[in-house]
Amino acid sequence: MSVVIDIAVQAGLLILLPLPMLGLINVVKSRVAGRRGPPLLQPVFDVLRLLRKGAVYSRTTTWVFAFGPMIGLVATFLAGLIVPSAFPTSPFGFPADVFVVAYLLGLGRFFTMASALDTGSAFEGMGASREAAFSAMAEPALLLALMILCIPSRVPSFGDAFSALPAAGGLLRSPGLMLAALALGVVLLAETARIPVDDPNTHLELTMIHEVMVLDHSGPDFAFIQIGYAMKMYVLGAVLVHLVLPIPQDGWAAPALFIVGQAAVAIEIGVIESIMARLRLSRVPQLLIGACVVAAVGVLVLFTGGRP
Amino acid sequence: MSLDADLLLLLVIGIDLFIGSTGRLVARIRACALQGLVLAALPLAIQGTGVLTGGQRIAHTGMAVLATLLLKAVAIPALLVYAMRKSGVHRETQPETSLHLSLLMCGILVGLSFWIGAVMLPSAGAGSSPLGVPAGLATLLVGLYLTVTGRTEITQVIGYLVLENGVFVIGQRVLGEFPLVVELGVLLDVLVAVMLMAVLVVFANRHPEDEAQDAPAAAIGGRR
Repeated sequence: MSVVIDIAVQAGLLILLPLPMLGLINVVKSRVAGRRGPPLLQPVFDVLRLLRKGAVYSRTTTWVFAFGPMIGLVATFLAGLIVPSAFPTSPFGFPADVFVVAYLLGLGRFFTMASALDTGSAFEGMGASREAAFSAMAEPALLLALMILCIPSRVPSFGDAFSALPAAGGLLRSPGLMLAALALGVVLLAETARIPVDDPNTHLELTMIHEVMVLDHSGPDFAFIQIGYAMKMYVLGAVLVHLVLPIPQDGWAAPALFIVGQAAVAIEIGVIESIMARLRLSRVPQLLIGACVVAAVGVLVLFTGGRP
Repeated sequence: MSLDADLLLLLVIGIDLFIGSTGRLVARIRACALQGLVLAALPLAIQGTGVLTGGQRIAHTGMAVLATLLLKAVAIPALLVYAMRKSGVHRETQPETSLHLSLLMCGILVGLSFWIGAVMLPSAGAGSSPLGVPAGLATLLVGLYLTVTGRTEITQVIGYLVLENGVFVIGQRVLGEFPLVVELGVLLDVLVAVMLMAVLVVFANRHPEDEAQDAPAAAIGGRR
């Protein structure tokens, strides 16, 4: 019975939470700017509207173009099932699932880029090239941060790692984990194309990264991309929440605390977007290299720090 | 006690990386001042060897904190800003290497110092922070790197200051308590060096032929 509840909570949160998180970011941005802003559930309405529409396919595109959004969504959804959400362990977790999640996210990204290239548009190729370049630099930071996460438990699996975190003393007792949280925060902003790296509101093709890759998708395909994008934010946010907040093993406090944590992640992204400008494209690699270096120092601190 | 020292030392490493990666001179000087502030707090967090006790120890620590704070966090950065403005406003640090490479190099140096700290200099006591030697070595090496790659006098002096901060951290770590006289001597040494440099920078950049051009720049710098 409890397994059924676990699965229901895990899948339910994964389906229900990501799009309102996206809405919360926009609400926060509007409020900070003194506007009233769109309703919290606006992304949900948008996706439902898109799902009712038909899709337009260019004659130059092939099956790759049609499959890109679907594979992207499915890969992110699977990653979301594996990463623990409400409780420190996921019902779908298994040993070494950390690597599977990292590569599922990579798989989704690869097919998004492939379908962008498939359109034959110069702009989308440019976006795909930028996405490839930046994600290649964000990936070491992500993996190093996940490595820090796994050092206290010595097992590369989210369930064991998150269960071992309170014993390791939590965030404030361990400088290495603080560095991991910092690096993961930068990776979250880079992977979800938020402001210091990319501006989700821009509509100038020359400066876009994520938005330019999905310009040619329409109708349900675009809805899949939006859901997948929101889910990616949710997945990386979930890791961050577990790293920062000590979430209890069971009981109803755990899902509540998790939802509060995810809302805090969304609010934080919204505030960052409100107070920061987008970095120049040539400066973005420096931010990502910085995240890598910070995560690497975190690994060193945990290994040589003497306090496992 | 150990926790605070860990966090402070981590902050020192973080500031090293920031200094290595920022392109703005003012940001570098401010980071240097912040590092001085952190170093001033360090004697409060590190437990001494226990030679001094009671009121003596409090007086000693208080003097050390105060002197470090005044010199490293206030006087030297202020001098650097003064020299920077007097010599015309250089906003960029103009390093020899690109900032990406510089950040990567700083990361490698930090990794190297952790390795050295772990392999060559095993931890002395259980009570002291295990980050002490790596943080000090990292600061020292990053400072050396900045001194070598700096193109202008000011960036080189900032590198020298960071290097000296590294010596300070290692000293704190190895000795626990510096003798106060030695500490003050080192600090004054650095202060004199920076003052000399400031004078040098100000005069070296004063060419008679473009004195007329410099005047408006100095005026702008002075107003800022």
